[in-house]
Amino acid sequence: MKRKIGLIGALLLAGALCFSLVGCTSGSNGGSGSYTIAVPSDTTNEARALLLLEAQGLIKLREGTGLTATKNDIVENPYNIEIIEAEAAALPRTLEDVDFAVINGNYALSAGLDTTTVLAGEDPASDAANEYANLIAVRAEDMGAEKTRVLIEVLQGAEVKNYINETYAGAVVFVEIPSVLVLDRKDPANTVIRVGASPAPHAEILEFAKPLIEAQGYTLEIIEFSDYVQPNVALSEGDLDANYFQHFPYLEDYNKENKTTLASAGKIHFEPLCIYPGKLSSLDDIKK
Amino acid sequence: MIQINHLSKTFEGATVHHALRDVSLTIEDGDIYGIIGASGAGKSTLVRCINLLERPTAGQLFINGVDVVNLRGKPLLELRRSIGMIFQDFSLFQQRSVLHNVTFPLELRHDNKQHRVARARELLEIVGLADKETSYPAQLSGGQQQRVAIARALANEPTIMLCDEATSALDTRTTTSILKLLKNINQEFGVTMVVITHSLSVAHKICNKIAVIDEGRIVESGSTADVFAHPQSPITKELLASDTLSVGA
Amino acid sequence: MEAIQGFLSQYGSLLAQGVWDTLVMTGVSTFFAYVIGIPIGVLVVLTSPTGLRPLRVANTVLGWIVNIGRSIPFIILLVALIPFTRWIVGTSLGVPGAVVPLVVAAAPFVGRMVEQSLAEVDSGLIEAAMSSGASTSQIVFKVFLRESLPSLVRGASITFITLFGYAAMAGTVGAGGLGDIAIRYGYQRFQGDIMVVAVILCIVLVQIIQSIGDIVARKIDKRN
Repeated sequence: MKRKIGLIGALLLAGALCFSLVGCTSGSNGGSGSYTIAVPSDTTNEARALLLLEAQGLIKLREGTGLTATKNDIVENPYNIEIIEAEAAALPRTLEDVDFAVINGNYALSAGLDTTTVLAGEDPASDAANEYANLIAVRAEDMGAEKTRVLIEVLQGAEVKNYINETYAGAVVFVEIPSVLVLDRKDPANTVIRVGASPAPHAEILEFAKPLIEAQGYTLEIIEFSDYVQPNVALSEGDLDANYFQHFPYLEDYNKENKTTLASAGKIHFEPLCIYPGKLSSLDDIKK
Repeated sequence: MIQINHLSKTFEGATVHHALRDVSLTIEDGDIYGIIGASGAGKSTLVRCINLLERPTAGQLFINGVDVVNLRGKPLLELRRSIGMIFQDFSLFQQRSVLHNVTFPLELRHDNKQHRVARARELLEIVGLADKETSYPAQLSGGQQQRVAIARALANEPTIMLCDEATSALDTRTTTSILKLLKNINQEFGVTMVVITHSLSVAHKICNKIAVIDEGRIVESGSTADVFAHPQSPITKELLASDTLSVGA
Repeated sequence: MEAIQGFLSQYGSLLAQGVWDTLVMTGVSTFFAYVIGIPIGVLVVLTSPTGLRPLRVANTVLGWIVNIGRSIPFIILLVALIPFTRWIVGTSLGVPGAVVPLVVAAAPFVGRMVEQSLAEVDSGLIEAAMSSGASTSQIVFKVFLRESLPSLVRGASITFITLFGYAAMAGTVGAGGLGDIAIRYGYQRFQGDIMVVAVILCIVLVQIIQSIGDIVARKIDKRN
């Protein structure tokens, strides 16, 4: 008898759990008529995505929220939108499960998404492009080093510009903000430049630049990182000469939190974040 | 009646082991038939062939007139239900109470609950453990556990009971009381028993007939009194001489 | 005190949701991992050379499945299974989206644990059951599973706690949970206070589950 009660109890518990699971699947908050938008879950990408949604009039963020905004900072949500935070690279695969998704250009491209279907995005000609341009960061004392100069000269040069604009077809955009560096020393003994970078598109761009750098007498060593904290740590501790994965606001934030003095040697490219259609094909569907 | 004709069992493995060679025996209804011999002589293998826990490689095994050597599936399960077995280490189900250990064979037959419990209580009464029905094996002594095992073996009203070194793990006094119980069951319910043991005093105490086995062969058989008083085989003589709990004493 | 109240008002519901997400994800996954893992474990034991139904081919193949399942890095499994996940639960995101790959990752692990629990059952008991005329399925349910129940319960709490760790990666598909909160807020956004609280909650939950598992296993084990 006791055994039967125990078995029934276990089954009821299992049933309850499954039920709550199913409750999670059918349309978001469990409320009818709510919408789902997927955004990248990492720090600045999520913040940019939310700011983009705010610019489209879909949500409102808390006063003064900047680049560490998360869905926790949403103060007004009139259309009852559920924000789902997922890994940036996984977003293209999850488009059919949400109404809209905010996706980085390079991931959209790798996944073969049709960039003509973009509903809204960060304007490459805007201030956002300057603000969020990905840059080469070095330790403050290396701003005048020959290695830095060579790196920037090649990466801001015409060959790299053409490469970027042709290969990435708008998902990654070359930024025309040439750096002015004052050379103050050479390191003739050491001709290896160690750069830490995200796999796409940063490491790819560096691969392209490798022979160009070699022509100037330096060897480029590319170290790939899959997270966004370690490259700065490695740079400040001297394991890298430079890194290439972040934009200026992120760098500033990192310096503030960690009391470091990493500096931007030059801006190279911008990756616009865009809203792609998922189950719904127009933002007006929400606003009606 | 159990009729064993030219039974052989060979184990094929890394080495080939002839556990039983051309064994022939007749066990009459109501016998308490002892099979004695040294370790590794083949006693366990022989008794395991009777309920086909081991399948003989050659020969015939007639149980109540039917040759069961090639029995499989449902008929095999039916056969096993008519033969009870007890073991040296009792093999009681640790997570079941005493009562439910005894009802186990009846559950296999899908008997209704009331009948199972009533029968189990009857059996526990017979083995003298009526007051222990809610205890668990871990709480019982060796002797008590073997009694539960005996009750369990009797659940299906078997005509035959196999005892594989049933008292080898018990002390002398407990052994005596278990043997007494087995003898009572044989006399009251007419259950034929096959008793495997390496101890001559056990064989002497309850077996009316015995067979001596050595290296897979039967070297001598007959009534217990005869074999012990007038051993023919040198093996038997050796066994008698070396067993310090000597029969004659 | 004020600081604590401020913290709770800002992050309280986030953390509460995290606790709930983690529990549902891990609980449901453990349950289904056992639904699949128990038959796997039983089959491996039955088909082993010393088992009741030796079948070398089946035994070897099952062994491979178990080993392969345990070798694939979870985050790869998570992403590779997206079409399958979508077919089963209708989405690739959220808690349901994480449960499917968690079950696929855990079932082989559970299979191995069940196999070990069953192997601990004294072979003498199996013989006693056989000699009472039990069929193979009766032996599986009445002897193998029943006698190894305390061991299976302990295995379940180990499985639950293991899945707890895997579930931290469920943030990849937006399933949330405490591990995800600790990583994204604590590590990526340098918000140490949230990270500490999330980690403490993890520790407390694991401790509770482990204790429940131990108590239940001890209570149902009649060998004490």
